[in-house]
Amino acid sequence: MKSRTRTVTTIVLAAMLAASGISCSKQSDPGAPAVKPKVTVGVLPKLVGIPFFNAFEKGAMEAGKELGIEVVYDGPVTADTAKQVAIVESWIARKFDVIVVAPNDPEAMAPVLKKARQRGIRVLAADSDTDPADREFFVSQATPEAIAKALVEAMVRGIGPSGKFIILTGSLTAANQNIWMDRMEKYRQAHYPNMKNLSSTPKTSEEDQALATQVTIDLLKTYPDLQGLYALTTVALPGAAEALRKEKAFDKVYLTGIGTPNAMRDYVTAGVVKEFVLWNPIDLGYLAVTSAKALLDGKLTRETTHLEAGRLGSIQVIDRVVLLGEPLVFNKNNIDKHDF
Amino acid sequence: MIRIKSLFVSRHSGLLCALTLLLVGFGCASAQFRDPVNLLDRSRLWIEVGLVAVPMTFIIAAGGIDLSVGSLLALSAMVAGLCHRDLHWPLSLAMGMAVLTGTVGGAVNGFAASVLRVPPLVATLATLAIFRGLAMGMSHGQPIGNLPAGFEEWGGFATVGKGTFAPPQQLVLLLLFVALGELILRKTRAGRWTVQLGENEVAARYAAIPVNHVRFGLFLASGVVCGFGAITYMAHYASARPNANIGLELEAIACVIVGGTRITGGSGSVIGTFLALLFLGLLRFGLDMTGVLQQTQTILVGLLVVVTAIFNQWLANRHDRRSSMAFNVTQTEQVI
Repeated sequence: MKSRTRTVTTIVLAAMLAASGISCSKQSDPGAPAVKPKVTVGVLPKLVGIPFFNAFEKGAMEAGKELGIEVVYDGPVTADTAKQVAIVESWIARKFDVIVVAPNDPEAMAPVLKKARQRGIRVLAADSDTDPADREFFVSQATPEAIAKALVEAMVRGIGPSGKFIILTGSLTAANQNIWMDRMEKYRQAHYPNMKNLSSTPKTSEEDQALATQVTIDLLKTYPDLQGLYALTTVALPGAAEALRKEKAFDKVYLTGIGTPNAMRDYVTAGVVKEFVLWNPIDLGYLAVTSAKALLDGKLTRETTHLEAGRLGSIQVIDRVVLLGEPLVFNKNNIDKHDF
Repeated sequence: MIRIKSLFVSRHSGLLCALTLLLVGFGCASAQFRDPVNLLDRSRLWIEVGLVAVPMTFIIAAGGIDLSVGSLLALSAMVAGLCHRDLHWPLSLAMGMAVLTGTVGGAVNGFAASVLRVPPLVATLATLAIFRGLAMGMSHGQPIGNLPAGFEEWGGFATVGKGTFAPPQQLVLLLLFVALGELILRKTRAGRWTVQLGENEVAARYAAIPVNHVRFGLFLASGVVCGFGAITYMAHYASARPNANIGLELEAIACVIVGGTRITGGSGSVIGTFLALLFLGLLRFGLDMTGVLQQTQTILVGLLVVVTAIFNQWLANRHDRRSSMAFNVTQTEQVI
């Protein structure tokens, strides 16, 4: 009876294979010329469905249309490294020309990016860097030093040069936030040595706004002498602002950080948050796709110092980093000029 | 003899139909899908789920559940990573440590579920949190990288043989493991005990089945497999990560259920679980290759899982009714 079972399985499997084989062989021969003649660029954000990356997508698509190339924008629904790896695997299989990634976790992405480059796919990082060895160029919003300086100066305007603060980040593996925190600490030590960080490890909010609110409420209880709070992701900042509004604590605790104008508008108008820092994510997406095309056309090489990037004009390229520009500081005077 | 044959066919015919449809459909729609290199390479993403789904089939067939597998896998990887990085152990010894950690974790689950009589759902829900917490705390949430290049090479590229049809080594190991699992479940006393325990625990105790030993053994095995899963994970992602495989338990349970194992216990099939793994993996792969966006995929996969599970269950039930008809008739007559 064992052999019977086996025979049946074999027959079924063989039939399946034959069926798929037959139906495929019909297609594969005339199908050959139909393989895309167009350039395809895959853009992989940390996650989809948050305002920052929606704006990023808008810019990427705009550039794709302008340059006449196909842009595929797709990412995980949560900031999930394994899903990002799976997406890159499938883009390798689909033989994209360029892959632009904003990795949640640079180290975990390294093997799959290596594989992509082995298969002849060009790799760029945008928004958040990979290990520089794994990509050709990094399309950066602004230097970490400039962002760190803008954040610390905003905090000093709120709590003075000797206040007590805490940092709320995304996840502990997020490369962007980690490098900003490092530069913020260096800048603080050099210019404001009397400011004090009450928690040596930053608090985490895992790109989850509700969690950021909860963590902030807990912080207010745990650290009654807290004066300032940095929220370093565009999801954490509105979450923390909501906590201050709910607890009516915004006179006591000064909040600043990285945020998008649309998510922060109500809090700025209501006076919960006075200032926050960002760059233009639409321009960043636009620049990422423009750089991808320039890379393919040989206009972006190791010798390039300036890149002509369509409506953005001439963009600086230093040490394999394509630099969008200086960070913007948003407050109630300029926030209404921006819609993203 | 004929009954056995029809039992096998109808148990999995729903899934086999679905798989055939999938292969033909996506095979025609996408040249990348029918490229064997792509197809085989893709299987590297399923290894961990496939591994833990095998003992999960046993545990569910025995009327239990193990929610802690994802956390235990991450913990095993972190322990191995720390041994390698901080204690400078050679890689092989560190990997042994991963398996040992998995074993200890599995023993903790088994002890709680058998000796302490904590329901498996509660016990492993607790260890789901505890193991993850330990993995996170061990390195303050930081991943551990810098593993030897050869190891990474194995995770991403090693195949059995060369050429277009050379399968990844991990896939071959998984296939062997599935075959072993099916053999144990069908042909050994341990397998029979597992199913009898799931069918009726009281009856199993009266039948002098060492219920506690069986239950402990199943959770222990699940832990050991998590340890091995940690090794393939570390090789594939070139690092140990405290947030590895969050939700692995749900993916494994989905494979088990779609594969036709009864969620309340009493029947199970490792082959069914493996076919379900293929189905879910190929479905995702096909959707990827035809350019369906992730958000849409999540919905589609959910819907298709429900439809396939219902279809499969319906076929299995219809068959079970038919094959047990004769038995039922005699039983009814006796009652009357």
